This record gives sequence, structure tokens and C-alpha cells, in this order.
Amino acid sequence: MIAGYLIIGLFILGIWGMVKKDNLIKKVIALNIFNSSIVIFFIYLGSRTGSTAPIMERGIKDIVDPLPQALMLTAIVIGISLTALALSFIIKIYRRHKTLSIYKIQKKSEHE
Amino acid sequence: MNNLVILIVIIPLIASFFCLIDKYIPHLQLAQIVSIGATLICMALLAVLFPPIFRGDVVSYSVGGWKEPLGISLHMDGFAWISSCMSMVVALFALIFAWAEKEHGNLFYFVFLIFIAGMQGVTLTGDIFNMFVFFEIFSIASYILIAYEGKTKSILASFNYLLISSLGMGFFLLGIVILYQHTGVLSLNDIANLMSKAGNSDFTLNLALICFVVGIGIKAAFIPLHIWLPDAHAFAPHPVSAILSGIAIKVSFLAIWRIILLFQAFDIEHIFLWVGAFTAFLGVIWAVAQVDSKKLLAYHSISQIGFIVVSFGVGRPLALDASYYHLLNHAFFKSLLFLCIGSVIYATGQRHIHKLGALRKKMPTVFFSFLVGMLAICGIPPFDGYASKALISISLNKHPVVYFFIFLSSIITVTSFLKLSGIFTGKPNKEKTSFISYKIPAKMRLSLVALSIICLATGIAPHFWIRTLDTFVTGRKLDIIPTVYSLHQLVATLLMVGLGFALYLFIRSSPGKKTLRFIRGFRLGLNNSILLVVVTFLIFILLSWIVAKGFVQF
Repeated sequence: MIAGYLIIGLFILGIWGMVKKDNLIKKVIALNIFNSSIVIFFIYLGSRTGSTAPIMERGIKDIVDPLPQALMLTAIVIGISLTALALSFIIKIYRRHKTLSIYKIQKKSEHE
Repeated sequence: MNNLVILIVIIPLIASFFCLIDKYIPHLQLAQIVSIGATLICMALLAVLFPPIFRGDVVSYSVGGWKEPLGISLHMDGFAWISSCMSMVVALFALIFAWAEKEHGNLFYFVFLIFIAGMQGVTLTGDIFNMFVFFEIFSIASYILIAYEGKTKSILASFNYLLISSLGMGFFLLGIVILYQHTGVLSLNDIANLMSKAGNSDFTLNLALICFVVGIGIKAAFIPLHIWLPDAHAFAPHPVSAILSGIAIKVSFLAIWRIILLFQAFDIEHIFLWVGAFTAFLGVIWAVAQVDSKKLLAYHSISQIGFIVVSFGVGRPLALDASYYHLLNHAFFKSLLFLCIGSVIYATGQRHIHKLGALRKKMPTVFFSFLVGMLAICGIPPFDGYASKALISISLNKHPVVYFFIFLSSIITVTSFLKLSGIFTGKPNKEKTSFISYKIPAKMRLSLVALSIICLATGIAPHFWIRTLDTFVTGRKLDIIPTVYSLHQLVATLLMVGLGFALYLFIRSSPGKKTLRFIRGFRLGLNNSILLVVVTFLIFILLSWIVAKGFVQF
């Protein structure tokens, strides 16, 4: 049960970080935390459907549902490519504005 | 026949590979030719698929030969067919325009084709997780395309879009988790079967639905999920603005449409009625305040999505057809307008409305195409916008308050386009502009003229079009089609134009200018817009809980 609370904690932590953090990189980290919380949630729910790994040999019974793991693998890959793209944008923005604070960047780009 | 369905997704992907080789074969313009060829082949495939679709069949393809409960299927029904055609046509002319600009390297076409493939996948897929994957494919491609020119403003806009839309896709994923845990199915057909047996009284399923609606809603950009849109659409390269405004938000909205009809969530449709009314009204108020020509058009995309959402929220077959008709028309005239303004910026290098003027004589082709787009978006007969707007107002006859908002937004639409047309009719620019040649390439002219002709064609016989859409979208449910050219509608149009002109005179005066400056100064930062998305999510959940408990009857 405690796992469930921890996952909810991660979910809220991710959203809080995206809303509240001023630093662009911290925002991306928060996005990753948010995504991970959903991934872990699905894996956690999937893991409770059985007790053994889904390697189908003779005599294996009570396997966990393999589908959540397959789906979440895809979601993780997408998350990685999103992070890479976001960080490359941040590099470009940093080279131009010499700061990572979204507040300062927005103020500067309004005056252009 | 069945294999053709997957080819529509795969051919752009194969062609995108050839765009990468282009670098090693100079002077052949392989990337441009291959990408235009790929869209043409896809259109030919769609033409081959027309007869069975018109009969009302569904052409399905199971990926890898695994049938539905196990594998992923792609379904081509009338709804998907017409969406697919729409996106292919707009993408084709945007590609021709991009070719004429000669500013984009082969990577641009590479990403563009992946974008098209992703969008086709979203329209065709029959599996909700597969839809998530295609959504991410086309969003990642669109982030790259928006930032392609490498200007800081466009990179910042793209970054904002990335963060907000990834948050939305996280919600979408959460919806998939809830759905799979609760029902154990992911394919859309299975969900539909389940719903028709059990009904949608279950709160958990409604929670999943809200996750889907808010997650995709960020891409469909109705208020309050719209904040990323104006910057992203305004600072993207011109052909990219055209496809983003013309089809990307439409494809996302059509995904919402399909999911809501699948869940048979008719309560949520009523929420959409009000969301749409506010979207149409607030979007156009911000639009009229803008001085950047592309930003004005970008805010209009939000406003026009409001018209579409309102009509979808009414929910009767006629209203659904009207909504789809307006969606189709908006795809064509908004991409036309973006390309017109794009070619003005291409020729003059200036995007500020008040610094441009008197281009009518210098750029006659662009002026006439712009005129077609402008009359269409304002809803002047005989252009296509008139027919769909008239049908929307007819379908709103039981909701007078919503109709009032829609009418107000139509008035302000006229005003803002009078303001924008100042770049063609107004006084000539005082700055020295003698070095500008005002010539645009022939390919650019071709795409403008072709899109204008499509705008004229879709408006000229509204009866025929609404009958066709009825066949494709709702499956022949309309008995009587109301006449579009009734006296009532014509008088309303006349009133709209008159009031719009009066309002235009007001915004030219000094108190009017002050008001506009005040509206323009109102901006939400990135932090607040992310907060707004989360709050909207919570409000939607609260609303659906209230409706499910039966506290409020719609």
C-alpha cells in the first residue's frame, strides 16, 4: 500500500516542479519525474496480477500480465527522446540569453 | 485492398528516408520531389479506397497479421477517409510553398514527412495506445518544425509547447492506465462494445475519458488549454504554420471526437458547448488586439476551433455535420491565409500590420487569394465559411445564449480581418521600400491559387457538401437539410458585416486603440499556463463527478 502513496507523491512532486521551478532544466527533470510516476504506477498495478515472470515454459503458472511492461517500455523511450529534444532547446536558449531562469527569459524576449 | 490502409502511414516514412540521402546528391532537389511525390501517392491510394468507403464499408488492416484483441488494427471508415484527404491536400500545398521558399534544407522535409505520417496514424489507428504513440511522433516532429529556423523566439515557443503538451500526454497515458486496469481492453472497437453493453455510468471510466480529453485537448487548443498556440503558430516557418493551424489541431480535435462518441459520453458534450462559446469569443478578442499579422491569424485558429467545438457540443446529427463542415473549411481557408501572409512576409520581410500597406497593386495574386480567405473566414456568401457558419447557427436554435456569443465572435472576426486587410488596402509604407521586388515564385502562386479554388469549390454547393459529409461522418442520418441561403441568415450576415465595420471604426479611434493595447498586454507566463492545465484537469474531473452523481441535469 505504501508504494501507492509514494507513487502519488511522485506524481504531485512532478507537477509541482513543473509549475513552480524557475530553472528550465529543473522543469525538464520535473517532467521526467511526472512521467516516471505514471510508468511506475502502471508497472506496479501490472505486477500485482501474478507472481512469476511471463516466460512461458512448462509448469509456469500465475504469471504477471506482460502487456503493461511492453507498453511502458514504449512510453519510456518516448520520454527519453522528449528529454533529449527539450535539453537541446535549452542549450540554444541558454546560448542566446545566458540564463536558465524562465522569468528572466520571458522578460527579455518580450522586449525584443 | 486492405494493405492500402497501412501504406498511407508507411509511404511518408519511406519517403522521409530518401530526404536524408538528398544531401549526397546535390542539385537534384530529391527531398522536395520525393516528399511531394509521397503525398501524391497517398492521395492516389485514398482515391482507390473511395468506392468501398462510399458504400459504407470499413477497410481494416491488422498489423503483423494479429487480429484485433491481440494485435493493433488500422481502420479506414468514412470519418477517417475524409480527415485523411483533408490533411493530405493541405500538406501538399504547404510542401509546394516550402519548395518555393528555398530556405529549407533536406532535414525540414524529413521531419515534415514524419509529421504527416504521425497525423495519418492518429486518424487511422484503432488502438488507444497506438494513438498515444502516433500523437507523440507527430508532436515531436512539430516541436522540431516550429524551432526549425533557429530563432530564439521560435525555440522558446517550441519549448513552451513541448512542456505543456508533454504534461498533457502524461495525462493521456494516465487515462490509458486507468482504462486498461479497469476494463483490460485497449482497442477502440472493444471499448465501444463494452460501452454499448454497460453504458457509461461508471465514474472510473469517466475519469479515463477526462484524462484523454484534457490530454489531447491541449493539442486541439480550446480555451483554457490554448496558451502555447499563438507563439508556436506565429513564430514557426510559414508552411509549418499553415499545417499546424490547418490540420494538426483538427486531427487532435477529431481524435477527441472519436473518443467521446466511443465512450458515449453525452454529458461531456454539453460541457463542450460552453467551452466552445468562450473559446470562440475570447480567442477573437485577443485576435483583434494583435499587431503581428501571423499572431492575429494564430488567435483566429483558437476562435474558429471554438465554432467547431460549439457545434460538436450540440450533438445532433445536423450539428455534427455542420461542425465537421466548418472544420474542413477552416482547414482550407486558414492554411490559405497563413500562406498569403507568409508570402507577404517572404516578399517584404515585414510582419507588423501597421508597417505594411498598399500591397494590392504590387501583389495582385496574393491580394485576391487573401480576399477569398478573408471572405470565407468572415462568412460572406458564396464562400465556404458562410455555409458552415449558417448551419452552425441553425443547429444552435435551442441555445440562444451560446448563439449570442457566436454571433458576437463573428462580428469581431469581421473587424479583425478589416484590420488585417489594411496591409493590402491601406496607405503605402513610409519607410524606403524601393529595393523590394514584391515578386513571389510561381510555385508559391500555384499553391495560393489552388487553395483559393478549393475554398470556392467547397462553398459553392453547400447542399451537396453537407449531403456528402452526412454520408461520411454520421452515416446518412439527415432527413431534411435546411436551406443555407434563407432570408434570416442573409439578414444576420448583413447585420454582422455592418456591426463589424462599426466596431472597426471604433478600434481606429484613440479609446479603441487604448483598449486593444490593454488586451495585448495581458499575457500568461509558462508557469501559469502549466498551472492552468492542471487546474482545468481538476475542474473537468469535478464537473464529470457532479454530472455522474446527478447533482446537475443538463
